[in-house]
Amino acid sequence: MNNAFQTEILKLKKNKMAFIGFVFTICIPVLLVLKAVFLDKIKIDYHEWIQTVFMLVNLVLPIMSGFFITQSMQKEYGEKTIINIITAPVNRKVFVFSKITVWFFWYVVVMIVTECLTILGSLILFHSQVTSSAICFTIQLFTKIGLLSYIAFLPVIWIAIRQRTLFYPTMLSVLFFVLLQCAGSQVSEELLPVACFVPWLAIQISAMLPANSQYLYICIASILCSGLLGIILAIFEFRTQDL
Amino acid sequence: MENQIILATKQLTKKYGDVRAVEQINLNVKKGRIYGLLGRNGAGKTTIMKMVLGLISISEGEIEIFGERLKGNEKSIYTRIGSIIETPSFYSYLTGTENLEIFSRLRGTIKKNAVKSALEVVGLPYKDKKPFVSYSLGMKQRLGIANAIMNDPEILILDEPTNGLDPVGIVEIRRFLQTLCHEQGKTIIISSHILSEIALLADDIGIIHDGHLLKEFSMNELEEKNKRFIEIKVNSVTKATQLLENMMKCKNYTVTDKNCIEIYDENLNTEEIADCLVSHGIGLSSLVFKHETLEDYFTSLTGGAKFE
Ligand SMILES: Nc1ncnc2c1ncn2[C@@H]1O[C@H](COP(=O)(O)OP(=O)(O)OP(=O)(O)O)[C@@H](O)[C@H]1O
Ligand SMILES: [Mg+2]
Repeated sequence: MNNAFQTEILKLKKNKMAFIGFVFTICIPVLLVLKAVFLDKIKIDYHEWIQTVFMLVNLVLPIMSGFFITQSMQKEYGEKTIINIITAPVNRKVFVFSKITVWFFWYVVVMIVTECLTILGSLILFHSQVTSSAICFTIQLFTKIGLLSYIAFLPVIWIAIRQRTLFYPTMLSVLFFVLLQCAGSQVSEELLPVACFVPWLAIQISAMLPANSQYLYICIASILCSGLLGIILAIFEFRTQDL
Repeated sequence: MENQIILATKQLTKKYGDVRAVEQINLNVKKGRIYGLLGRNGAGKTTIMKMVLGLISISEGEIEIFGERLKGNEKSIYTRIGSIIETPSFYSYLTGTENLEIFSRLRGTIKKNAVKSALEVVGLPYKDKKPFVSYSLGMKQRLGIANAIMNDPEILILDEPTNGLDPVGIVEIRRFLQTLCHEQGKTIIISSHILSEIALLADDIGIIHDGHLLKEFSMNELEEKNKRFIEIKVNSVTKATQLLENMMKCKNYTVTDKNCIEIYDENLNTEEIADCLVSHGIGLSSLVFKHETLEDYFTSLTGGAKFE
């Protein structure tokens, strides 16, 4: 596992998609700081600014993350390097886990850098309003939503394995999941009992529910199920796949 | 031990849906020899190799390597095998050295300068800046061979490794494989649809046709049993065969073409045949001694499926 993961890191170094995804995501807080400083006539308030960052990051990061894993899998099939990997030999389960791990690694790095830049930006723009508890809250929210989103998106790797060299079917499902994730914040109270069970809707819902809400548990459970199912399906699919 | 079987397949079958790509193959590869899998495009050579390497699932049958069943011992067996399947496949934007470093790390247990010496062996530069995408076909093929030999495997499984190499390159690779086999005692399984290539290289040959193993034999056997025969070309095959049967009491012959007959009867001599045919007014345009080559043998086995 260790070797398989290390080679994934070696591959990351020259992976354009990983770089582009990183840059696009971390640009959001940077650009929003520049916009607030140079373009905005009326001074916006702190919460509004954080919310804009949050919304955009929640849109862009999952898309980039989906692109990342799709391209990473699709390349192995397209360049047939998967044949060299499996005959090395690398256990098929280990291969899937090394992909999931490097995906997570990339995701966490991008997430943390974006969080840091957001905090930094908020300090530059609103240093008087930003309290340490506000910083904590921001970090908590970002990290919680980020991790839940990562878990809910794990089935993407299964789709990528199924689709082998095809890029677009996987990308379309990524965009569909992102759409649901964004729609999550718009779910009305009447729809809540149903929406909780949809993992991608549940990501944003879980951020809005009070800590003692029973729906929160359903949200978390459905997200975890999505992740677990994604991993199991991916391994199962790959274990029996003809290369 | 001489002629120990190092790799054997038993009733190996691959089905794609209803299509049987490979059916009931029993290969026996002997240790320290070069085994050539010969077959036309689509015969099933790659499919067999992929099953042996665990790249595709086995529909029926089983495989034994190093005297052990493959199933359940994949990890220990595959670390002792090097391979190229179809075209060499590497990360296009990494250099040859970077690519090999990745795959050597995946293997885990190899010597420190393995990448460097593998590249040296195939004549590629170490730490070159050129990405794989801009390699020529021949360089790609060499890198594939370097990757296959990097962990000093006991068995090499090479699927058409000379594809895309120029004539000099082909000779180089052939010599290299022969050295690996005959001096270092490695076992090599090589597939090809090029008859002459296999004839020059292989010690043992398996002929695959439409997913079936038609025949397995050694080149020595082929040479020994190489039937010597007399080939005559006449203007009338029917008259000539009548003469052969009635006048010369010869039944051991085949008509191979509309004016060509092969006579296997060893008691007849050429003069006798020529005299007899000519004196009965048959136009004889050629009469030669021949012996069967691998190509003839292949053609006769596959029922006239000639190489284009
Ligand atoms: N994934 C697949 N699905 C269906 N049929 C397949 C698949 N892969 C191979 N086949 C069929 O299996 C047969 C054997 O193919 P294989 O690639 O083993 O031939 P080959 O002997 O290696 O030919 P070549 O000399 O062209 O490389 C062919 O008829 C091919 O169409
Ligand atoms: Mg082939």
